[in-house]
Amino acid sequence: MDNKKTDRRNFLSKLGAAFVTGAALSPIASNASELLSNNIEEKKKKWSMIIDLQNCTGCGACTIACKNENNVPDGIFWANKISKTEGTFPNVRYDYMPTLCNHCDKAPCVKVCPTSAMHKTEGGITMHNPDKCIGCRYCMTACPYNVISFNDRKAHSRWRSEKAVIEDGTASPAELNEKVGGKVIPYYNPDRDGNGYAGIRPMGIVEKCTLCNHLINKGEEPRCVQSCPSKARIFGDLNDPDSNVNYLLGKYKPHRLKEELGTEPKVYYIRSFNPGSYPDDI
Amino acid sequence: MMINLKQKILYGFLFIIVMIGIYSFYLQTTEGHMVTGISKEVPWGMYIAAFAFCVGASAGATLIGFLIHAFGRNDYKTLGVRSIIIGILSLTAAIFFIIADVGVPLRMFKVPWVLSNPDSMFFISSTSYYLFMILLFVELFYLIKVLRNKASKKEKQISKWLAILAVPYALLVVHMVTGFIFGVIKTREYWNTSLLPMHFIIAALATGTSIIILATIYSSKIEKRVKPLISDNTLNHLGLLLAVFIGITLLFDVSDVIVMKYTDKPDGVEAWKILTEQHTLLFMINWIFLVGALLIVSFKKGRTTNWMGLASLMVITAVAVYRYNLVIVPQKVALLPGLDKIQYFPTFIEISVTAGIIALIALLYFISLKIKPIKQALDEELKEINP
Repeated sequence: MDNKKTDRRNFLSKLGAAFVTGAALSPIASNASELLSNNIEEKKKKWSMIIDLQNCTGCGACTIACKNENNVPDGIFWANKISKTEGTFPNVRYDYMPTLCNHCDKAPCVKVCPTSAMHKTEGGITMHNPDKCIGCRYCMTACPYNVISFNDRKAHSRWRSEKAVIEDGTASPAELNEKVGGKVIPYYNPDRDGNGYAGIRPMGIVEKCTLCNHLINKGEEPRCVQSCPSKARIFGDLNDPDSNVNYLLGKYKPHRLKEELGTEPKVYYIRSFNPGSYPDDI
Repeated sequence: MMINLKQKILYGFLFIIVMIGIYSFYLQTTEGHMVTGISKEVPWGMYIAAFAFCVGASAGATLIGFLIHAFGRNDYKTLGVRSIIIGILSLTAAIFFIIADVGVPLRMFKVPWVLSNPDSMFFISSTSYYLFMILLFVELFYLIKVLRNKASKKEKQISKWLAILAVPYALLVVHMVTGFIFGVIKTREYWNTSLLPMHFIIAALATGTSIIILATIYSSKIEKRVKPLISDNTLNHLGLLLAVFIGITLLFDVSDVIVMKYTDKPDGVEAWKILTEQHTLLFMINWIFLVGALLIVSFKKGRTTNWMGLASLMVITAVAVYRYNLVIVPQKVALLPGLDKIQYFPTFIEISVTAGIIALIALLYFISLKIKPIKQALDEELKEINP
């Protein structure tokens, strides 16, 4: 009888201890799960780009670097520009604005694409799947920024030509390409192939800026950012409060193209290309 | 029925146009869309304008069956089979135009089955087109059975209800959704209006009715029938319907113009400028032909065979021109400042492919009338006028 009482007492005391321990540990446990989920949330990036128009010199290095990095064919520009000359000499004003896909949070091209070829990645990049694209160009009509291009011919047809510039004097483009071991083009970048995108896109589908997702996945910045000689392009994560982009967005009043359409573009412009004509952003 | 000389000349001419169209399409497939007039700024051209027109025609053609079964207008019975065939072939033409337009046509047929995005109007519209095609074929199947006296009582009911339901489905689902393809694009202000899908519906009715009138007149004139397919009274009624449809279309056009003319928004101002300065001739044709057609069919003397034929041609031309302006003009409005003046001209390839598709559809129409079950059904229909 006494043994039974002891066993019951032991059991109850152990049960009580377990209960108290559990109650003491539960806030820690819930905090831990919250911490874990915060860490998971923190891993979600929101990639963004700032273009400092004051630093921009209009050199076009970004445009060329982008074409090189992404094997972009003739006539198509992923990194482009708008330039405008106004006034009569000598009172002339020149404006220059680099443009690219804005990777909008509410991208109209993603909404209208019938095949989901246009889609958003986890980092907020508006990405294109060449294997799903039917070339309907609905995205091109829906895009407010004119940044999507259509492959209306075989890419790099110039380099496929077997006709020499000077007969018996120079090599043909195709011969030169073969000599240097290029794939279609002598300067073919194999790094572009993969990461959900094709190295060279086929005829009949669209293409556009992918924010160099293949470089971002390696922890690098997009090629246009790397190549800018005046550091006019700043790339970063909007979800990181300590990032450069957030610092600059706090310091300068940014503007975005066609904000009134509600597309929530993630390319911000700060300051002005033309000195002496700052808007109220300082 | 023997083919007379006029028919032989017509079929031969159409065949040549089809061959030129096929060759042009082959060139486009091998060289790419660079042989068309489309560009980065104007990604949609003549093919999309023609597609929008043909979807409208297919929706409008279902009207005859509706008149017969919903309103008891048995005087239209001689047009029952023809109108469904016109509907099927117009929708086929629309699909051909999409095939001509997209960059990867074979992959297009995976939409909506394998490749899908339910948010996209293209996805929704392609689903509706497939269902509409099935509906039309089923309607034709049961109608032929009814006419050949091989239908049970239940099948006669099915035929009746299919004809009645086809019109609201065609107008509200098929054609209104086609209007939404453009209407939901807030980038293009000229498109982004709630009036646009409504305009699509009413223009579809006007176009479909006009095509049926032309098919009726062709049948009388070219096939040299002893008696026309429909009586003068029925033609008169059809003319009154056409007058109503043209009138409402004009009302929508006037509303469009007034709002665009008085808008202060830069895109609207630019669109009006392009419409009146670069597309002047087309803009005038749209208005003159619509008003002219309305004047013709508003008077009883105008609701006779020859005048109705002319009015129908004018309506078809006006709506086709309107669709062209609708597709092209908003794309010519520069999206960002600093872009050069945007131009678009359809190339010979685009024009010949478009003409080829239209000629092919016309040929298919004439061929379909000779297919045995359809011919038998048509003969049964004609017993209404030749008992």
